[in-house]
Amino acid sequence: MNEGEEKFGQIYFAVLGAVALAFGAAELIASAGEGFTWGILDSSGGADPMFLPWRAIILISVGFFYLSSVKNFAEIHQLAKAVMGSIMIWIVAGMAIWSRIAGSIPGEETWFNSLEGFLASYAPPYCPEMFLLPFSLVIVYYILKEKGETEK
Amino acid sequence: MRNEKDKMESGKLALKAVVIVALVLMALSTAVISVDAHMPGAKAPPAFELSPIVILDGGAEVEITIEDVGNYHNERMAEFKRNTLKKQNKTDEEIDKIIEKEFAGATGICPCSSCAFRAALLGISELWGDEIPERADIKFISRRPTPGATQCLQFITGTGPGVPDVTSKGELQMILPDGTEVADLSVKSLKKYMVDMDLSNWNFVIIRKSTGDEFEVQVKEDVIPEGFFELRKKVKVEKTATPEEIDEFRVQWEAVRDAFLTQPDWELFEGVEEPEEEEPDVVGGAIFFSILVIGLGLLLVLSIRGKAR
Amino acid sequence: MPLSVDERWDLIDKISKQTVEFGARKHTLKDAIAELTVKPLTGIPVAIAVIYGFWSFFCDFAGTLFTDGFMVRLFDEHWLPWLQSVFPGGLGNPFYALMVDAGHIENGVLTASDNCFEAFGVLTSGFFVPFGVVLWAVLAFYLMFALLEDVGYLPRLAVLVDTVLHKIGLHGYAIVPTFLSLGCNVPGVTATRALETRKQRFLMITLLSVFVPCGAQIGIMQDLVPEMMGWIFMTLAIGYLGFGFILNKIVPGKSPEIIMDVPPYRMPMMKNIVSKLWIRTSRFLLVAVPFVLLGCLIVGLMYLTGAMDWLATVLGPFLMSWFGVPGETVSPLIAGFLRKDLAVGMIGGLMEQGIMTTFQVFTSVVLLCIYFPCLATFALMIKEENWKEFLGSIASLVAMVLVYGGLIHVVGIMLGVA
Repeated sequence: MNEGEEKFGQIYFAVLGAVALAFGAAELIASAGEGFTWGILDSSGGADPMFLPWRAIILISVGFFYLSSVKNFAEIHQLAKAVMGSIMIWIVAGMAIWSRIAGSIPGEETWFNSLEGFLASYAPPYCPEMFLLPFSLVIVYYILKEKGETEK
Repeated sequence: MRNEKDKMESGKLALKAVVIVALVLMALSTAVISVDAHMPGAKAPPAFELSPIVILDGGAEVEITIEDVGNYHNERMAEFKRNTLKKQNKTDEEIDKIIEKEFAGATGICPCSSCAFRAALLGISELWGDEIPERADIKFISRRPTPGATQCLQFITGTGPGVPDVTSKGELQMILPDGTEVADLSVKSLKKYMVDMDLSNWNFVIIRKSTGDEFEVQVKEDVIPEGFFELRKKVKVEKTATPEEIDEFRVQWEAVRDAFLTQPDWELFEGVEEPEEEEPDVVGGAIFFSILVIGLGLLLVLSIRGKAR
Repeated sequence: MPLSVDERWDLIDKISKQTVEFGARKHTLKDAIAELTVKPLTGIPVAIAVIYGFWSFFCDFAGTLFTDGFMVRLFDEHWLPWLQSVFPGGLGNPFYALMVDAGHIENGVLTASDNCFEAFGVLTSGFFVPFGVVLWAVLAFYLMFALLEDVGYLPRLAVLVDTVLHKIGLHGYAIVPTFLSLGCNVPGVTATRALETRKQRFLMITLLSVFVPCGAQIGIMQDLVPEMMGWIFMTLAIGYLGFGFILNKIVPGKSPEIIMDVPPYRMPMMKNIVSKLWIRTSRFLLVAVPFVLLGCLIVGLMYLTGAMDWLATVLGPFLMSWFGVPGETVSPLIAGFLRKDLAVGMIGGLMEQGIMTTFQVFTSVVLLCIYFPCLATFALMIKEENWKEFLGSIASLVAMVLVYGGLIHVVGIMLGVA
């Protein structure tokens, strides 16, 4: 990758890492109680209270992965840290989305949910990882870039 | 491989055992379970879920369920019956037999006790919200001079005879709709006032003594079936009801009791608003779902293109 | 004259210097990621995320979607009421009680059950437990397990946990039988054949059969007591490590190192996943279903004949004083010998009737996990171990149950919840 891409990556993932760390810390504090909901942001454990501190630890780790990848970002092992951080967000956010899909299909009174109920299952609030998901996809550009350079 | 085969063999054996034993077993006897309740011949209450009344007594949390109230009501009525039978010069043995027969399977959950319980539950939640009230801070004014309602409220306030583990007491006052104050709340005394009752007797006032706030609970007219009061008088007071009228009253009695056990507050009491159903956020959900579908579609396209290369 | 070990290595060095060209190998991103997942500092957070994904998928697939979404409705709103209406005899009849619904006492009256957990008939609970709950749990588990296997992550997990498992006389490879046992104890115990020494095999079999709940059990627990799952697993993990440490000290024998191949990461093949899923799930059901039906029948007969009440009376005081659980726990413990998922379902029934406090439910579920392996695992243990080892396993089991179960009770008393 060129210098500009490296610089952009450093700044971008530094900010993303800080945000992830902040979210993770907030979730960890919230897990001491019953979680919190603020607008479209939801940090509660749902049916299983074990999930909230677990997610919080993962998000804090993601923050550290991103932040530690910033120095010498173009180096393969540093880039790998950023990739792992993104993969961890994909796992958690992916499971949050899967949870919505699983909950949206069966109906409450009927076998299958109505269209209204189905769509309403995807309504906010969302967990912090789902907010970070689109931002974590930027790493795909760097993965493809790295793949192209390796193939050369 | 041998291991797997053994597993499957043992499973098949177990299945065979099940089939053989099941075929060999014969239906033996039928068990007839008689259900007796507060109202002779009345069916047991349906399945219901009522949260307990939670109060503080001397700093300790006390949970009072409707089953607790029912048991207390049964105990008091059994005691009343025992005293009555003693005055009739029955022996202790005869008394025990009669009481055992009369109260077998009785839950003590009758329309009056269940109504009073629901009224108390509603009143406490309106006046104290999420806070747990101190027993000594609770006052009830009851317009219903029946043992069921009275003993329920006596149990909650700790003012009734034989209420266990009472450290502090609330207050219970009986003021009839015509303004008569009933000081003696014993079963014998209440029977005098139970003769002519109507909808105005299905009324309770719950008072938070420390602040003076009050909440009045009045049962809605359509909870009580038509002709209930007249039938009741014939069956319970005048004892002139025909067998058909007794049956009809029993059905109405069960319906009223079941209503207080299962229906929501806004269907039972005047002035309670039906909670608004939250409108589902269909638009927000649709937006997210569309983004999800587009994202997954893009992923699929990219992976197919990648494989093609 | 044969070469000594050192001479042999010197010769190898000479030959390789003459024949092998050394150059700088450029790590690819895949190599770098593979390294990251193996080093403890980065590997452990990744493992936490992977296990989160595993568990989350399992809960939503088995619990939210299939069991709660469809199966409960099918069995409780259609199958059970239909059986209750057509089966001859009616409530209170012994044959009806055995096959359909034993009923329960509510306010002094025998009342019909309104769900298949409570009903405990051969045709109701006997079908609901394996097909309504367990099938989906096992399917979800084996799907995720096959994915992790084929992606190449499992050996890396083994490397990560190697240091921890060393403390209890085992090695990282032991994570494989442990993981397999989370699906079903039987393949987990079978997988211990790869361990080198008898000591390692004995340790692994004993710990698996006691402290690792199977997928069926996990499925039922997730359905009944989801809020306790974290505490249950934590208790079992502490027992696994703690008793493993003790057993490692007292059991004679060696625990040599294991050399494992750590393959590169690769995309899993759908065909492989589907094939593994089909084989493992179908075999599991073929074994599980007859035992569940048999379990329902035996426990039902014991209730009808009064044998269960007699056992509860005899064992009740001991259960209450030592473990802090009521005499009613006897019947799930007996059923648990046949099928643990069935037994947990029975505890669910007791819980719904308000017979147990929350802590008693927790203690009962943990006791069920640890007290005896299910009949299938028991049979396999007899096959895999010699008679000394088998008796040793049973003795260890009894000791662990008494000590650990009693310890949980003591902790509960100290916390004021027991």
